[in-house]
Amino acid sequence: MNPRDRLPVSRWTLRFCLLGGGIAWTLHLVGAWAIAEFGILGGFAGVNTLILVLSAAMLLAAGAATLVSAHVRRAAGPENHEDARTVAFCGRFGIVTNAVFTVIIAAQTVPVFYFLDQ
Amino acid sequence: MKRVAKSGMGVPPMGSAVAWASRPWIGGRTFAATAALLLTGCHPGHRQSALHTAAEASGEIARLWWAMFIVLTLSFIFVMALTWIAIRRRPRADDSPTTTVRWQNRFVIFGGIAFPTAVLTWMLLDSLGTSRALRQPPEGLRIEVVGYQWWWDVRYPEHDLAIANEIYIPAGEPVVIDLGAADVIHSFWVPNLHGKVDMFPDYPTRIVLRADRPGRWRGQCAEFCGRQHAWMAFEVVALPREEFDAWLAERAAARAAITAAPPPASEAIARGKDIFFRESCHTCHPVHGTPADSLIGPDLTHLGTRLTLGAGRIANTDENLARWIIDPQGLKPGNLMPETPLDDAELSDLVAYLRSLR
Amino acid sequence: MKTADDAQLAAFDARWRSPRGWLGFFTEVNNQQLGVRFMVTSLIFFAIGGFLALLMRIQLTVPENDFMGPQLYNELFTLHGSTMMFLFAVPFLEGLALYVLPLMIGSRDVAFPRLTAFSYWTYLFGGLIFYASLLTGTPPDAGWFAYTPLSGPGFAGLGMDFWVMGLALVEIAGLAAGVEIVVTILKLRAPGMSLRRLPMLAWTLLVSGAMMIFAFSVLLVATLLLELDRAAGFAFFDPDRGGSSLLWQHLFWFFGHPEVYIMFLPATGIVSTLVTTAARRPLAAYPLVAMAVVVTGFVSFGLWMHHMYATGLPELGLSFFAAASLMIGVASGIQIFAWIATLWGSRPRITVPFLYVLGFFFNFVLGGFTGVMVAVVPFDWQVHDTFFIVAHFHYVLIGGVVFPVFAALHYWLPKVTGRLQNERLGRWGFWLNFAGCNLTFFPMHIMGFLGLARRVYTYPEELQIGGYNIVSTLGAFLMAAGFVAIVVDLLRSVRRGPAAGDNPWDTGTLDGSMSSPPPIYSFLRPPVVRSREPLWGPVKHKAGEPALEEEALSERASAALHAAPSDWRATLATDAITGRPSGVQVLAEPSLSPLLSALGLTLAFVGVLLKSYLLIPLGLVLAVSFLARWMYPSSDYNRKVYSSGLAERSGLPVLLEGARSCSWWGMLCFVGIAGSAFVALFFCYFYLWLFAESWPPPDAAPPDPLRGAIAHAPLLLAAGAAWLAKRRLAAPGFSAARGPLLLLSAALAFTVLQLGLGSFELATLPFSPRDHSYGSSVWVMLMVVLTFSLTAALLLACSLARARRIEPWDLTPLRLQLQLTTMFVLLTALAAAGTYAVVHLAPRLL
Repeated sequence: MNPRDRLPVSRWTLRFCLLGGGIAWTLHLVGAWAIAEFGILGGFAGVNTLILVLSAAMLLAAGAATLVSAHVRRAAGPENHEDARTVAFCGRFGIVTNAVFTVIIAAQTVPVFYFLDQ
Repeated sequence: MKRVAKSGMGVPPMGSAVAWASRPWIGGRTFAATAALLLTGCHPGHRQSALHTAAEASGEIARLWWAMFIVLTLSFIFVMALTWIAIRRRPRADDSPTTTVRWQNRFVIFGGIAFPTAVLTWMLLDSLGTSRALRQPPEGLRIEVVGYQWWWDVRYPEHDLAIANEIYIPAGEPVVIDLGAADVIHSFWVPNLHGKVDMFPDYPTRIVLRADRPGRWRGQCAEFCGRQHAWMAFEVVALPREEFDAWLAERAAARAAITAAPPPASEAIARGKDIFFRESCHTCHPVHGTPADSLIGPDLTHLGTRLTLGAGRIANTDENLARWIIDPQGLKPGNLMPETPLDDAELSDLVAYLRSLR
Repeated sequence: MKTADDAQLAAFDARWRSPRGWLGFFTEVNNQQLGVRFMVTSLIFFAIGGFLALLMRIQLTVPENDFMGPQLYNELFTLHGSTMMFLFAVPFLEGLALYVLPLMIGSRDVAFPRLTAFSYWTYLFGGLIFYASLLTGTPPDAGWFAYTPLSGPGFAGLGMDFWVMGLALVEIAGLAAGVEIVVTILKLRAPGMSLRRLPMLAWTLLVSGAMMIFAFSVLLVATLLLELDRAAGFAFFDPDRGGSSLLWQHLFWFFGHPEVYIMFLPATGIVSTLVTTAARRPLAAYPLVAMAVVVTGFVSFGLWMHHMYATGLPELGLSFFAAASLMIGVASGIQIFAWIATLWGSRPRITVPFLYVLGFFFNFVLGGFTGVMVAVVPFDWQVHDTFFIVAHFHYVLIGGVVFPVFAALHYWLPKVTGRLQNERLGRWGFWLNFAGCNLTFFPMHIMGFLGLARRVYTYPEELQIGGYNIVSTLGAFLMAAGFVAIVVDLLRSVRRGPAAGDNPWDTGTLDGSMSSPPPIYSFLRPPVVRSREPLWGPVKHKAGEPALEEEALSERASAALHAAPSDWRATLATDAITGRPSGVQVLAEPSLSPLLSALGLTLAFVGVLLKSYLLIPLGLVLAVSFLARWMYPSSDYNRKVYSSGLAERSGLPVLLEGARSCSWWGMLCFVGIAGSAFVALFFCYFYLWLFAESWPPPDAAPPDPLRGAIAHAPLLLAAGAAWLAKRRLAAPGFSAARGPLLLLSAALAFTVLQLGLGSFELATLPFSPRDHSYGSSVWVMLMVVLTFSLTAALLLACSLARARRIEPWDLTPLRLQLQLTTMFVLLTALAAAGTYAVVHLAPRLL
């Protein structure tokens, strides 16, 4: 009766696969903006370094979410079962979503290099 | 217009530069010489245009725009053509569901992900590069501009000079303009020279302008600031360095003259000055060297040479000045200045006094 | 046997029938009825907003025109913008979602029918308050974006109070609709409709509903803070007293940009639906499109600063938003290419709705391209706040939202009315709108370059844009004619259009499976779904698949609910990801409570507006008491459900708790709303700090940390006690009610203790909220925590009262109640802890 028992991956894995990249992106944007705005207006010196560290961490997180999604996709096994198809869908969805978020985070890191002299 | 013809430039008299130079009350050699220069450099009209640029900064932005325009127009045509083909095309005979799905996915990945990513990454890099090119060290002549509802207070702190609704700058040199606001948020925008920067009551901002050549452009408040947002304009006049210095010297001389308080040049001016204080004009408008020192309305110390009245509402002619004094609400509804009922003689005296403030 | 079936059918039908009479109009909770009301009301507002736009266009036709003065013009553009953004676009899509969503995903109603009614009434009252400003002759005039300080007490009159209070009600309506839509999609899908079979419209509505939850709550905070400034003399946005003029822009655009996508995403869902139908084949690259929708939802929250490029804030901070604003274009690109791929070689029939889709393609791609241009920081410095922007967002909003809305109108109207529209008139309407839209807005790009700033009531001759303006005004009238054609067509078809049949467009989604107009309960028998387009033929199962066993479960549940139950309203609830049936969800029946609580809230808001401070508590009491009446569970009802035998027949639980219950998800959404509101308040505090010379101001000492700890710590204990009580109740073989009773009493006592100590702390604060923005923000945070703990105390008292006597049928509902209460107490404790850290600790540590 309980559908939880039947899925080949844990619910938390599934959630990370569906939302991991998005959350990493959110943290990256809000974090980078907060560091820049509060840091520069507040007169803090290490703004660029801090943003680069944050970027690296969030790129890793989004990349990890992509890998986990690939794992979910594999763990779904042959798609001959309703749940397997659903999980495989989540995996495929996660791979592309997290990959795109990784690209966006990378794009959001680019500006830092234009402000290194500041 | 005569003056221009006399200066011997064989350029047909056209455009606002001529109109400006031909105004009878703006005398002096400074302006005659500049008018000629303006004609050669200034586009007839489009004095408030982001595409008719007169500075490196606005030129860079215009270049960025044209680049984006070309790339995105081609992309637009490409997408529309694809749509057209998509709905007109006949189905292929060999379309099987599996190959179709594979083809569709590839189509979306290349067309919908790779192609936009490439275009947008280029835009991001060009944007950041342009931003970097536009960054200017804050060095040069300092000017302070404060936005009021609905006019501009303009000060040259290094020269103890206060004017309003017009900014004179030396051409070819950077000027650092510190921006602020007295009441609500305004925005400083001279599109021919640069993009806009907002002006806040609680947060100082700054823009560095550098006009490539002498000329005269129109600026405008770009942030909605209340009833008369539409008529919160100003003029930017770029003069060659020596003329700019002469302009500064003329203003300093005019102020010194007021302080020295010689007998008025005419009876009318003397009467006008009395009317100015009798009608309480001084409770809002400062005039250097007189008891009028409360800054609610624009500083009138150099009103006589002002280009416009009501922050770009009308040209500063004697008739318009009189109109403005008796009916400011009709010309610019909602502004703070009350109507001042005067008979014709008093009005002409007051105008004579104000015109003497050069 | 037949007679028994007929009797069953009649009883089922009677159970769902709309309440009759004039009172029935006010007690209606059905999704179809309210969906139509939403759409009709919003179209009326659209017509008004459009009329205002025409007046503005007349004024701008020639330079220095004196058709109207500056005051009227400012009022008009404020009303026009606010009407279109808040009273037309979002409510229309909410109405469409309410109507179409259950039909598409196979549900009989939405998750919280009374909330639907509440949402409609608050929306309507909000809109009425908004336009009531015309009666007093003081329409709002500070723009739909209401930048402070221009919208503050020093510069704007009564009109802005109408604006703020009307808007606050509309925001509450939006929040309610957001929760409604999200929970409906997550929980009430047809069995078998796993995530991968979700119609694309449902994907977009899901994301857009979730976005509403976060965006509208921040806007609600912003507007209420603004009203505190205006009505009570607080100092959030007053630069003279430490307030920030930029704070409002952050809050407003944190809502404002997602708002655009809240409207745009469902519009793309409509386009996906129509493209699929027109091409008569499944949507291409479905997972990629779903991904694009989700990515858009996320990234749209990261664009708010691109409305603030010209603020002179640190450029590094701005450039992250430039990157995000550009990259969101990829998500739109995916959708567009997926639509092209779907249409490729399908030889679609060019119907009127499909014409609007093609119009959408043209206008939206153009508007999207100018959109990525303005994401470029230096370029935006030039065109920001010029007519270029006006052109851009009208292309996006008319091309990207209004055209799909018109498409949806043409597409689903036959379903709603059962009658077809006139093809000829429809085509006229489209071409007038298409030509009108492009004639009106294309020249505006050029005007922007030539120096025409936004929101000006006139412009000087020397800008040399008179010719463009004449074309633009002409286009506006063409659009108006197009809209008239649509309305005429609509009214004509309702009265004497030919019968539409069940599925006039031959769509593949479930909405084509029932009669037009659909029965009020939508599905006599809950459908079981085996593919994304269930109506386009059954899906073959591969031999030996275990899928069939799943389907047997679904079929059993579906059969048990065939014309049943007839003693109460119910639909099937399914698992959020797998779409497997997980229970029978009880749905509410007609009730007057939503109207009365909405009325109470409106009364309180009108009280604020008129500064008649007696009305405020009166309205609030009215609102809270009817909300309580609405929420308070009925034991008789539980018994009826419990003893119906439906659980045995369907093989599913009928009284639901935990994640199986819609209420649990609703509560989760509420936690999202409250959480974002608190984060917004914390943000205000730190942002004000950032610009302050000294924080707290020299004459105000921050509250004492030790006293604060003593005052607020009891909430943590209360949360712990409530959590233990919940666990105790959930333990198997529960019999002795004493355990939870004791724990619940303890939780209640701790909460009341915090209420007392916290109120004392608030009352003895050594500074006033009116002196400085520091006092304002501290005071508001503490006040909100106290309001939350008061609510928590009420909820705990209610649980306690219920836990004292438990019949067997009350056990599951009580568990659910305790789960929800615990969630709320936990939220309150977290909010208190956060507030403590911000108010008491931060000024001493940082």
